[in-house]
Amino acid sequence: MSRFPLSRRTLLRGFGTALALPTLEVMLPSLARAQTMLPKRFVAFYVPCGIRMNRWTPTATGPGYALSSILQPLGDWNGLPSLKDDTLVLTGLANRPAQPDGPGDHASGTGAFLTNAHPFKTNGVNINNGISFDQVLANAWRGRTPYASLELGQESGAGSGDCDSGYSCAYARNIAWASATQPLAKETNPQALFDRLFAGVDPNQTAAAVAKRKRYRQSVLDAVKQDTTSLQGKLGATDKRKLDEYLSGVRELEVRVAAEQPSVCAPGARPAAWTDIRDKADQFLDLIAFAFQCDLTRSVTYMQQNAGSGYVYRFLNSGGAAITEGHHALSHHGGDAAKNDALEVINRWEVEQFAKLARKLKAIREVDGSTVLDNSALFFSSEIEDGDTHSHFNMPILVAGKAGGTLRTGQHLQFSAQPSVGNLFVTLAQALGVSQTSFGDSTGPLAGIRV
Amino acid sequence: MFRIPLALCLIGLAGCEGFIASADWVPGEAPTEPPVLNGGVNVCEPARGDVGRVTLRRLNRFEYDSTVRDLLGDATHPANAFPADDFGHGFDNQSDVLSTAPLLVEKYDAAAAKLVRAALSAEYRPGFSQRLPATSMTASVGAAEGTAWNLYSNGTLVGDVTVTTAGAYTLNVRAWESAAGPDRSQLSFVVDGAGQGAAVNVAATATAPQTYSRQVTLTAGPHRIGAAFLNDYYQAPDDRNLYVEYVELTKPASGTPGGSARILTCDPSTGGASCVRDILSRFGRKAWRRPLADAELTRLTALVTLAQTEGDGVQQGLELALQAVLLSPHFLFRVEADLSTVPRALDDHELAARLSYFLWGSMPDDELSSLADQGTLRAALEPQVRRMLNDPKADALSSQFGGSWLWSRGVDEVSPDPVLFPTVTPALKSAMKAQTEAFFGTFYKEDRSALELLTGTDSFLNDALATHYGLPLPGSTSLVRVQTVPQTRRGLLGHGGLLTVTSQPSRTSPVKRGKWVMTQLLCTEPPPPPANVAAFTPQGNPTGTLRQQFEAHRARPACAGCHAMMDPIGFGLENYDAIGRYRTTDTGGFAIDSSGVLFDGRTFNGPAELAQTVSADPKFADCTARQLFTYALGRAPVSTDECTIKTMTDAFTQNGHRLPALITSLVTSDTFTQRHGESP
Repeated sequence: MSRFPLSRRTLLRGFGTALALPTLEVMLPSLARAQTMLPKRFVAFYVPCGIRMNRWTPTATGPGYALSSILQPLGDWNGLPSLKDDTLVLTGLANRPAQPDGPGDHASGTGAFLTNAHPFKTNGVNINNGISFDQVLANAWRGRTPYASLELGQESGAGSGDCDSGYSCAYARNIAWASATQPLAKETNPQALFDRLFAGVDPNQTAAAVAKRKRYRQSVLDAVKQDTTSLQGKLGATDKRKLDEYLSGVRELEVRVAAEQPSVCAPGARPAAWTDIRDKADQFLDLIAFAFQCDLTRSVTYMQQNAGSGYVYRFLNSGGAAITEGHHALSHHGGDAAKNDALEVINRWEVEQFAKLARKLKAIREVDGSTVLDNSALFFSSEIEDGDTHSHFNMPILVAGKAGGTLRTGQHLQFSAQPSVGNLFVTLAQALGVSQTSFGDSTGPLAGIRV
Repeated sequence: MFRIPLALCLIGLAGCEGFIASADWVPGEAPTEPPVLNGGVNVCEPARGDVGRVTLRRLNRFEYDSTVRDLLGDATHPANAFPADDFGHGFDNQSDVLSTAPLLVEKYDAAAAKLVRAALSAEYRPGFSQRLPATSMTASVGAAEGTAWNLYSNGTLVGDVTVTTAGAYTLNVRAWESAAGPDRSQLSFVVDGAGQGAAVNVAATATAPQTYSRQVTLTAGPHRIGAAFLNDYYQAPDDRNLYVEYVELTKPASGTPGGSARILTCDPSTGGASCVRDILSRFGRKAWRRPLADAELTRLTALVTLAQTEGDGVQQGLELALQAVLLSPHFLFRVEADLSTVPRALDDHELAARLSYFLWGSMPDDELSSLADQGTLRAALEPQVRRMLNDPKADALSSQFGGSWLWSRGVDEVSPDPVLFPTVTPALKSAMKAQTEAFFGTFYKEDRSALELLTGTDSFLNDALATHYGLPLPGSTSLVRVQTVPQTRRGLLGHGGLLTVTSQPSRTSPVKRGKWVMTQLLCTEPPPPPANVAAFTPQGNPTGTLRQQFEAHRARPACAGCHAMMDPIGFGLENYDAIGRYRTTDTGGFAIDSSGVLFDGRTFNGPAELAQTVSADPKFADCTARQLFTYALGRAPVSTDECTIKTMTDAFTQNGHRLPALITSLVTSDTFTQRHGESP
């Protein structure tokens, strides 16, 4: 892992191998554009089961606040550079539409995580949510990068059983939603992600061969699109919508085929096999950084685990012993001190992963000397506030990065009237250069965080 | 469906061991679906029925893999790289829940390219195996003795085979000797009169014959193969003889079965446009599960023409066309035309696909397809169901339907505490899962009463599982059927997989187990727990059994309503620990009390009586019908399906609770054989 700021010609160390990265400007359409319009980027970082809030919330507000126990990894952590000045700690925001009908907070909170919409309670028919914030950005930026967005996560999902109290697993496993009815499945294998991103066209091919390959692939997709269009005439509304999901996937593929060229940005070795979620997190976070550095995408969602995860963090110690209970079981702490302590350790580990990503992006310099982190906004939160109360108020939220110098980071802001997370998303959209006046149940931009 | 007065449990409950990750989550009902009231209402009045609408069904991962296996002979499981399919109603084949993300389309594209390339390049060479019984062969000396030939003097034993492919083969000779003198019998392998390499010493005796093997290279054509005895010995009464039971010639298959030969029905390099059209029309017919329209075929052949125009060969063109077939919505979705809101009979091709994906999780085979082509499938549904259930592909019912319904698929994800339970290895977990699948398989293969799912005396064990259960080892690493197992291991409730899946990593969960019995076997939803629940926390230094601790917890009025339903069922299984081992005292050293009472007041004592009580419950048959319906149609039954459910349940109970009868009843119902659409 890279631990220190890197100049653009420095080697990044990932996957245990030294990887030579090309200079960033190679990937940009032109140096002139790069200098005037550095790309802005967004990452949503999801962690499940809520947070131990009394060890999360800093006691002081404003710029001079001290990092809480769980937020320690944002500071001078194990000799790494502090991210405190790059980060906003936001408390007192609510995601009201996430409140479920009856029980089901984990699924509805996850469904609404980036949509700030009210997921319709169903186990099957009529799945309905809202477009997610990352997709609003992806739509605004579509066409500028080979991938409009990347959806990533550690867990693919259980092989059987129920999801949450009458909510389909679609809500519990997906935070990215292309539309109210279409969740965006995520890549859960870092090796497959590497292959998608970097195993492009063989650089040794001639231009003519590349062009022919494109014509072939385009023709196949044309045939497939014709199949689809003629089929749509035979279907009812719901089936047509299902087919539309497929068709928009085909169209995205077309865009990528058209843009395909011999790869100029190849970060080298494929990730090795992983043994537990620590390796896998490292690999995913590396690949997010590479994807930004090679400008393959600008909008990424990452689910550290799925909603209400029962993952057992055996590699973490709490109270002098390895943790043996599942995350979800622990999160229903019932006030139990030992469980709360274990949660604190898990939460700190989660923040450490987020900080790891922020540091990676801080280590990549843009042509004007700023860093990728400076021009990005990284959003961190959970589907609920506290694991026991399942509240959707006072959400634990971090924003790292200055979104191109437009965010006033380095402070803890506490909001007393529980404004909507939608207000934050409106503010972030504007900070990221995407005009958006409302989102979810927003009432306007959030005060105090724009420069 | 049995319903609990909701008011009882919806009054601000707090402090229950309620919400449970993954498998432990308590499902509720969508508020939009009104409770089904069965009592006193004739659900089969025509006005109450409707064949329903099935949303366009995308192949799920299992179905994609099975389909390319049957279509192309590809066993590489390309769908392992696809994102997981989301579950709804407990199954991952629910069409309203299955969506198609751009990521998935990307994976389809990559898989299609890889599959087509492999299929067109793989040259398949079938295997060869022919066994010649010694008594049918030509011997220069000796006599038959039982099934063997006794070469009592030096001599040969040969027979004729014909091979169609030149190459390496294995010559096997099953033999033993009667030992005499200082040496072992020497056996020489013979092909066309010539010894093949050095002779071998035969040390096997009559009680344990052995197979001796030699690699030989053969040309295509007839050959005379056999064995020779080289060193006869006789010093009365000592007599050395060589006995041969059979001679066998084998060759393993190579390449992908079916491979290119399955696709290239004529030689496209010489066959011209009509050959290309023939290849694509046959392949398209299989892949799209119906004959192709002319325009569709023309669209595909145009891709071949394109490649030729670009200066590439017909092979390259076929690659493109076949990719287009595999990337088409007609392959990836099971299309049923959907324009009329008036119910219509499915056409035979649509029906064949419904049937094959239900019973096999895969595409229709040649027989189903030809019945569909002739338009005679509808009349042949019953015999086809019988035939299909006897096909090995029906294992999909065990792994997918049974695996999801009974949660054995969940065994893959459980991770019991490695410190408390170090004996849970991947091999044991896979045996647990296989046990439930194999057991479930007997119910449709052997047409036995589904009540025995809970009470059957037989089970499937291997050494790892038997060790885990403390039973005599069957002496096998693969599962073998054991006809009678002890009472504690009879039926699903004695299966280690289920008992582990319904436990927490470090302890049992009577709630999870009780809820599993209620929701999976009786289709009775416990009212969901409220928010603000404080989880149950077992005491590290317990002052009573888990049961007593739980009962104290349950005494809190807020929890009592729901937990009074679930917990007593789960306590009936407290004799099994968190990884399904039988015990009579719990981790605190307290004696287990496994008596209990069902939510309808029936009492039981211990797991065996619980199994009897549940299997005797009429709700079990009704629930089995509902689970099967949901899996088969990819949607959950709604109120207008109650007549179909009732008809299925009646057929099931009147036929001794045989699953094939239940399946046939569903398959022949209007709900399965018809559909109505919705307006565009």
